[in-house]
Amino acid sequence: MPKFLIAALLFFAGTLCMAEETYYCLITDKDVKIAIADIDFLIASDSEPVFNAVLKNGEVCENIRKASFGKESYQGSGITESRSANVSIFPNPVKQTLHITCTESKKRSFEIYSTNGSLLRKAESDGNTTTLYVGDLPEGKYLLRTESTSLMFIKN
Amino acid sequence: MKSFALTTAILLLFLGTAEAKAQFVVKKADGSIVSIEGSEISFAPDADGVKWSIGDEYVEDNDLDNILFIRPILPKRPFDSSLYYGRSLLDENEQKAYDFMLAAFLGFAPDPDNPNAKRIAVNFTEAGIDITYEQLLTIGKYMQYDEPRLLMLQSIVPKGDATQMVSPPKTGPVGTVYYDARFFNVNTAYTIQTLNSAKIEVAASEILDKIEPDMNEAQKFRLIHDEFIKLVSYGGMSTGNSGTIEGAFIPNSLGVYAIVCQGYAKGLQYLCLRAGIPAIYVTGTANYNPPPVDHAWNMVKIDGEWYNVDATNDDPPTGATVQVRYEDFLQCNDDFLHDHTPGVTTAGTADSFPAFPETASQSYPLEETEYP
Repeated sequence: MPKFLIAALLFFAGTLCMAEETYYCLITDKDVKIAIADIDFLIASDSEPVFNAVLKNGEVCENIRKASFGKESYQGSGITESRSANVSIFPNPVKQTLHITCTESKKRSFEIYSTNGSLLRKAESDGNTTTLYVGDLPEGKYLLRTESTSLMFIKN
Repeated sequence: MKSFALTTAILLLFLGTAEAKAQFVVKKADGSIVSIEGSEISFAPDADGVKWSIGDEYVEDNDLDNILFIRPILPKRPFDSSLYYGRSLLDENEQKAYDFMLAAFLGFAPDPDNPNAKRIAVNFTEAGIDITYEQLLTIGKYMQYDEPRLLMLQSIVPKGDATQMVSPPKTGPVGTVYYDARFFNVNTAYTIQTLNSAKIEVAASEILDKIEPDMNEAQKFRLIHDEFIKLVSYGGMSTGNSGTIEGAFIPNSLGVYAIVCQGYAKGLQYLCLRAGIPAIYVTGTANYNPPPVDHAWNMVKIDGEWYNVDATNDDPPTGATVQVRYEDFLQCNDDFLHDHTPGVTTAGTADSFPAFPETASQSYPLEETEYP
């Protein structure tokens, strides 16, 4: 087989390997695209005409006013917009105390919301680790918000 | 905050399991509008895992390929109390009753144990509110001018029984009162209200979505005024909806949003309240060409001052070369009251509110309301 033909076949095979699949996506009014397969549920606020998209990995896309659906090329999971992973929580699910670790040590506030947007409690901390007592909350899903990051946790 | 929490808790206790649910509206590719109740929405794949639909199981009718958009509907709760002019005319106890009653109306839902209920009950005794029959009549009258969403009611006149034509006690606290639901059936009223809320949201939000965060109040109002007038047309007198936000935001069978002056005033008021702009629904008489006619318009508060607006008159007649005009736009009383008389009907009877706020000394310059 001529070498150029072998090269062409290899190139074509390589292209096929790099081909992206298309996935159904929810597209928010701020043009954030979220794979439908990654969404746990959408939940409406009880105070404003907005909703949150809660993902299976705990991430939350908040304050969506309107969303359409489409197919997109997609190579990741979660919300396809740039987010710095600077906050993590454990354990999740949690029974009593939620431990929060931030990559940067600075003064910040933490807020816990019900999944329909009601603020339940607020705390402030200036270290890079914080603990929040959640043992008195009813079992269910909640959102922890700090600065521009929201994470879902489960109280069991 | 505590009294609101207590009132809310009592209201939820009273309503039992039949509390109003959150609501989404879905517009489909064929133009139809579907309402989905419930706070949470999930998605399900088909058997091949290729297509997706809304819901817990794959349903072809709800396939995402058939859906143009999904959005939540304005929660069924009152606007900020500062936006209700009629409420501001009441004393503190009457305002408590007003708040309790309004929350009951907006959050009403059928009782599964009483599917044929004709009336919506409001139990002031359980809420710890003492209110007399006369006070209730005033509160109801002001509320129907303040809140354009009161479409679940057939009448704002309270009854003293769930089914009988009995008046509440005329002296002393009224206790529990009952209001005729629209179509005299709570279940029907709820079903229709739910679907119509979805349709209203689709049209109203198309206008409200155009408001940019950096617009000032005057610009927001100019946008609302202009976009609303472009949406609607004068007419529809043969239908009952032409004087309500249903007529203003739900197209008729010809695809026209046909309304009369009450519909213009209610529709504009609704958009203003949604945008956080205080807006009064005013009724009285207009005298463009004698004799005077019964008419409805608005007062709106921009930059802390009140102005008159007659959206009906700002909608040019058919065949006009412009879509919007500014004949009666943000006018002071000196410029407006030469052909409008608020608070009295052509029959000479008192109407709407006993008094209206003073306007700014000068009309708002139109050029200062322009937006990009």
